[in-house]
Amino acid sequence: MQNVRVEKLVKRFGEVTAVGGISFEVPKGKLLTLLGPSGCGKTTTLNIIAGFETPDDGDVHVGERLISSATQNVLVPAHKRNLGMVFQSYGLWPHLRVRDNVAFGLQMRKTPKSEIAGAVERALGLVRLEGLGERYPSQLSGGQQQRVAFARALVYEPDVLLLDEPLSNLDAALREEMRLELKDLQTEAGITTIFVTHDQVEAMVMSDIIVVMNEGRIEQMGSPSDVYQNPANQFVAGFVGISNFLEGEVVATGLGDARTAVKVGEVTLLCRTAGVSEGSRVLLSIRPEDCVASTEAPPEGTPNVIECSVDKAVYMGGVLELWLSASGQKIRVHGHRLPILESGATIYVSIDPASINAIKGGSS
Amino acid sequence: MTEMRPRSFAMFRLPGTVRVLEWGCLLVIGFVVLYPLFWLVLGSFRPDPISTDFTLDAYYAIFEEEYMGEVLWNTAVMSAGVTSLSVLIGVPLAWIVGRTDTPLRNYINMIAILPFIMPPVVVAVAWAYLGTPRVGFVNLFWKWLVNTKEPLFDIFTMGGLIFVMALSLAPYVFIFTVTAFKNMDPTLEYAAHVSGANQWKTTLRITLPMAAPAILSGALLTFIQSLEVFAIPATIGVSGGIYVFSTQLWRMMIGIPPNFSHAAALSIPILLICGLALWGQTKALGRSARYTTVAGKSFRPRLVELGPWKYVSLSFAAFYLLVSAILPVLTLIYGTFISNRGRPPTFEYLTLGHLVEIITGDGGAVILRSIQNSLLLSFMGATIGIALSAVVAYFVVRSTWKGRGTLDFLALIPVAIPGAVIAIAMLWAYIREPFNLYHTLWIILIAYITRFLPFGVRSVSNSITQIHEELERAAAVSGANWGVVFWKILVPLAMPGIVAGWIILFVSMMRELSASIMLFSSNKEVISTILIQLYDEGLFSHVCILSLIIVILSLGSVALVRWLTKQTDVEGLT
Repeated sequence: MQNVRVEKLVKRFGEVTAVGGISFEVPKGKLLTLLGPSGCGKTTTLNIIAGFETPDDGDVHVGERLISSATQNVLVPAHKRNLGMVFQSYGLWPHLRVRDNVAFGLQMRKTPKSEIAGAVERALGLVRLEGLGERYPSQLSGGQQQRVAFARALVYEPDVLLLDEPLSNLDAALREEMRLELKDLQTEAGITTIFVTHDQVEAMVMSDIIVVMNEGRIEQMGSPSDVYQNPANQFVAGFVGISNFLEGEVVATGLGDARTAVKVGEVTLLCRTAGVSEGSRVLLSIRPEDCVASTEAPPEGTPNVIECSVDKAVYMGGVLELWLSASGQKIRVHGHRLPILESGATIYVSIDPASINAIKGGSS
Repeated sequence: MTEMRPRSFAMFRLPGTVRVLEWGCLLVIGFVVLYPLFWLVLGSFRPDPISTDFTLDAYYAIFEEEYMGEVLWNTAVMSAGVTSLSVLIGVPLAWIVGRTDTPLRNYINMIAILPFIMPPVVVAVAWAYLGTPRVGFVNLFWKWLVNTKEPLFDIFTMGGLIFVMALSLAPYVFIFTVTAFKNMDPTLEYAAHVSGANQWKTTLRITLPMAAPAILSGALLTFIQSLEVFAIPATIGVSGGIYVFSTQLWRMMIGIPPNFSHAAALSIPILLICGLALWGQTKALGRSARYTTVAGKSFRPRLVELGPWKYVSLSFAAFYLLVSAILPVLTLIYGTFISNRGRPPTFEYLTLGHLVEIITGDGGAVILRSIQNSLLLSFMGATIGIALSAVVAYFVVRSTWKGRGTLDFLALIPVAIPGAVIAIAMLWAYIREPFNLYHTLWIILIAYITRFLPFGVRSVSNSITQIHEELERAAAVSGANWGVVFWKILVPLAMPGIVAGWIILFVSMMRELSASIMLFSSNKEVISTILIQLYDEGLFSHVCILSLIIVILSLGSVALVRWLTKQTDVEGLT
């Protein structure tokens, strides 16, 4: 088991900069997710770490070993990096039996034949596929193929495991199941893992660290709860979960409980983030589920109450999805235990100041 | 942003030997393709192969020859006629198969493999026997049917030539068009209906225009083929005194002494025309792919319900199959087993005698030798050709090397060179030091490999393209080096494509005529040249037997190739 350090990685395809000088570190045994929309550079980053792409600049270390460096002209070929990888379409070799697929990496490492059989059995056991070794990949279901791919990647105990959107080919129910199973497998094996996905729920469920990427840059890096609750900017807030964005001007800072007051249109909202100066423009990010909606006005003294009119209300089962407007601003709110509301009805929304996040330099 | 797919080579620090292989491959292919062409061009400026003088005489001569105007006119009329007729046959057939509820359309789809089963030389001799004015079977039937002494038609005319050529070449238009029809998004037609267009308006305004690039692509290929095919002009054309470009080249080369320079000079403009047509064809094909292919989406195209008209469409397709395949094959079978030509096929006139006689008879030794030669040439040619193709295809599809584009282009060039022109170029190039291959089997072998290289490359590169790159990456991540990935992953997975390519090359070489006819010599005959000789000598049953052998061989190969490609049809390969 090793940690992975990526430093100032750059990759250009002609005019396009796919990866623009990113750095991050995966601690030993942790799972780091590269999360972002397609074209954000996450797959290119993974391919550079795997050795399928040559970076234009930057270094990659696995433990103390430098495996790729543009400045020192080091480029360890993929087959000598001792990594394990699970691919989007699994990449199981159709002409080899499951057993031989899993054994391949051990054969490449010149493991004695006597040991290979046992190791393959153990690996198949780990992914709960005992007894399917004689099958061909095409005779397995999608979920089973997925597990074989896992067993194949783990059997030779690589330093790092790379996962390239391994769940995207599964149907919704199986994907949900496999998420947890994958996470369990990873924790059990205790292997340092880099996971690439565009699915924020997957990233939330599986990661120790999330790296949110956009246009070849890192927008934010942190634990799942950190990224969700304290998005660093509008992109992260919008990409990870749903968010309302309200633009306003800071009218007072350093209030009680380290609150900041921001004037949005005609209302003034209290929010938590400090570090902004009076008079500056900020963007407030408010999650729909953090808003409390009620048909009656909350008691006097409740902070952050906004009187809204209903534009649209959609019943979604557990929650009522509300599209509201207040003094020209549109917000989206999840209402609980509310009657069915007509358009134009009046509703009161209150938001805990602790769950309003002010992002510096609100966009224009 | 489109996803940049890295090529698998990027993951290896390649051993220097691979770079050497790449350069070696480029040099070999470059030599094989360009060296003869270089001599062809040079030869057109020389009075004869021995001299080193520079002269334009050959160009003046070919334009001053009295019959040259006629040959050019014939060629133009034939090519235009064949291309138009092929479109008139191929497009409706493609529509019937791809877009209507005509019964048995899946069987009609067999038209796609017809050129492989029924090579032009077979269609040509069979129709020569079917369409002779006095004793052709179709004319005999006609005379009996309407009780007349006048034949229905004479096959040995320009009309007959165009008719037989179009029968043989219409499948090319069909193949390209039917693919376009089948890959068309039905939504586009639904949209036309919703906008108020009826069935016919939709077909004319939406369906056909969208298929137009594919039709053009098929038509241009047919045009190239019409200049390339030798067997039909050599039998049906020559019997009617109609000489076209390919038979004219032949006439120059069988003269005593053969006129190498004039043949070279005449080849150059034809080469340019074919090159231009191929360029247009590639362009049209690219456009067609943009119109019809929707990535990652497969749909069932909407079928037009023809009502009672479906019997008309069925009859049209059935008639085409009857005249292009069924009647010719029946003629061959009849000729193989009938004791005397003209007898009714009743039991008392049937015999196995011809089958014995073809081996034991006067010409038996020559025929056997030609079969041996053909087998030897085709076996060696297909083996060397596919090995070369596999290396080229691998580098073209998977290499990161800058030279791969050039390699790809070089390996495609022979498609645009008619067989007769390749043969003349071969003669100019290999007749001299350091090769001295005149009147050897080697020159035929090299010609075969050069001619069919593009088919081999296409076959292997199709199968390599289908192998998902993740399979190779997975091996590399597991610790396999370049050599192991190549031998353990790539070769086994590409093997069905390689074997199928070998069979395609083998069969194509077994029946190659247009280059062989210029290159064969005494003792160095091949099946197809013997077939033409026997035809010229009027040996009806022998011609039928040999043709039937070719058909059976082709049919067997098609079955084998189909079976092989089905084997590869497992998940992960597509």
